[in-house]
Amino acid sequence: MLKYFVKRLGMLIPILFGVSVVVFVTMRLLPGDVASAMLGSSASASPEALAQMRARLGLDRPLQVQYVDWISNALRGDLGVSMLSSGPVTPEILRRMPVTVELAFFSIVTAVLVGVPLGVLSAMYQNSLYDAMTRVASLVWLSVPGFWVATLLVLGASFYVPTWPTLGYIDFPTNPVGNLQTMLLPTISLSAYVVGGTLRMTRSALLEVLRLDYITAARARGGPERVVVFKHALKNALIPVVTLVGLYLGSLLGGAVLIETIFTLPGLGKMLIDAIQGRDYTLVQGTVLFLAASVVLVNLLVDMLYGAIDPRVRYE
Amino acid sequence: MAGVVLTLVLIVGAGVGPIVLPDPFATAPPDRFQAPSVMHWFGTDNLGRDQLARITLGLRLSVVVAVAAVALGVAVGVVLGLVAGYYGGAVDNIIMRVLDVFFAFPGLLLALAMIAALGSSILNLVLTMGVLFAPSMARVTRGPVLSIRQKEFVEAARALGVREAVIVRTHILPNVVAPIIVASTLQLSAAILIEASLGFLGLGIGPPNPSLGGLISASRTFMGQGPWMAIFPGLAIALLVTGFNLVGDGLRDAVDPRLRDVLDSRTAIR
Repeated sequence: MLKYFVKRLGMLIPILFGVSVVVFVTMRLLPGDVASAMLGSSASASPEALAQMRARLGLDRPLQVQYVDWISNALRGDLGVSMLSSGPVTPEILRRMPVTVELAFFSIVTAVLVGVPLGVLSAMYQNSLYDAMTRVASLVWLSVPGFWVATLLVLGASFYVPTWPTLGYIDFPTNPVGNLQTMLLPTISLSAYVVGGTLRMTRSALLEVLRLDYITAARARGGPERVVVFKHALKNALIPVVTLVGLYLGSLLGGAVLIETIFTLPGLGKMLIDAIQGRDYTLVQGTVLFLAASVVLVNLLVDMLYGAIDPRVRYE
Repeated sequence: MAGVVLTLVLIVGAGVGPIVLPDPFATAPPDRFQAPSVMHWFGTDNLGRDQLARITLGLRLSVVVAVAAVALGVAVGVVLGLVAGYYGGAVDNIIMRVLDVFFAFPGLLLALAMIAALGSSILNLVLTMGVLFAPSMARVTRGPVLSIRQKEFVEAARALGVREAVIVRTHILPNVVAPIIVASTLQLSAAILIEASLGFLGLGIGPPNPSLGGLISASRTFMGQGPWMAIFPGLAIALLVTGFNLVGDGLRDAVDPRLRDVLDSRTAIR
């Protein structure tokens, strides 16, 4: 198991290398360059000022030198200095991260707590009215844009529950109740899509398992359906669900950009949007690299979870 | 079926709406913040513009961008998938490893970063989302190609001396079209959502052209005066995406229910 983990970790190196190249190249696609973007407000930037700015930012050096410089610093945990605030990028990312992690965590928990039970019931009573309704609901959940749900929730809350803290963020240690209050609506908005997907996957995976011979055998032995489903079938059915939930983490981080912006939560997503709007390219570059690397790592951890759910899975 | 009807109604509405409805750009300050009525079905906005007209125009732009982006993604992805699957070995390895890199990015984040760098225009939106969709199309194509290239009829064609390009085009491609069509339908719904999200963040099709996401974003300033400004554009997005999802699901079940795992986990990501 440890050997497999180390091997998989090794396979991540080329992927992370590729990711860093894509991020680096994307930021160089900018028409003109960062220097002119920074001087952009003073439109009459002289060629001398431009050259000076380029030299200061190290942009006058060949691209490959710039890349090696950036990546070797990144490997040592230094993602450079923000162009707007002049503060180092890495601590800023770490400072913002807990908000996003909390939001993503609550959303995944909601998806599992709501999606899995509803999906199990749907599969147990296949083709019933309940099943039909749940299937429609899951499709709607999948199709409704989270940022629209968020907008409507803000609208509704300000109308019906004016005292509810809709916008802003309250630290958990400072005020746990307030923290959970501020996270409730963002979590509902962000998790909608994942709830729908989890529900659908649970239902179809469970239906597939319930058709297998060992389930027929368990039923023939006369066990109550409840035991057959929860003891025999569910564990096997959860494997694709775990895969899917793991894959959703990426889209949750993407969605967090919108949701954090709407609810003005000071997380990574809000920071990224502010950085894009402020043309703070080192911050954008660092944040995107950090988020992509996190997604890759989490997916590896999800793969390692299979063994815990299904002992037949062997890592070699 | 319901999905086909829903999608067709919306697309026809998007096609006809901007022609028969009042000018979506005509401002009429005295008529601003009118609630939905017979005159203005979806009400008017802060400048007195007819919301229904603006939504149909936004819908039209959304559909055009989504279809173009998915078409680009399919064109690039299918070629890569065919090449990787047919040749296998090192070629396959290189192509798929490069594509793995793109799977590491949360879709919306990559789109955000690219649009931030390139600037937002219809062309850049299409390019960005095309880049985003190509890898999953390549994966969807490559899988079945791997098994089909070992079938007897392909071997027979090869033994007859048929050129490789012809083998791939006439013997292999037709056998992998079904999953590609299903995946692109599902991809369309993702494209609509991504376009709307970018529009909401102000990185989509810029004003004065309305984008569905942009309409929702704009409504946030005027929530007290015109809540319908927030409700209807979102409803349009949700219905269109539901429509595409229903069509995709229906096609998938009709073509091959076993595709579910591949498609659900690989393409429905946004």
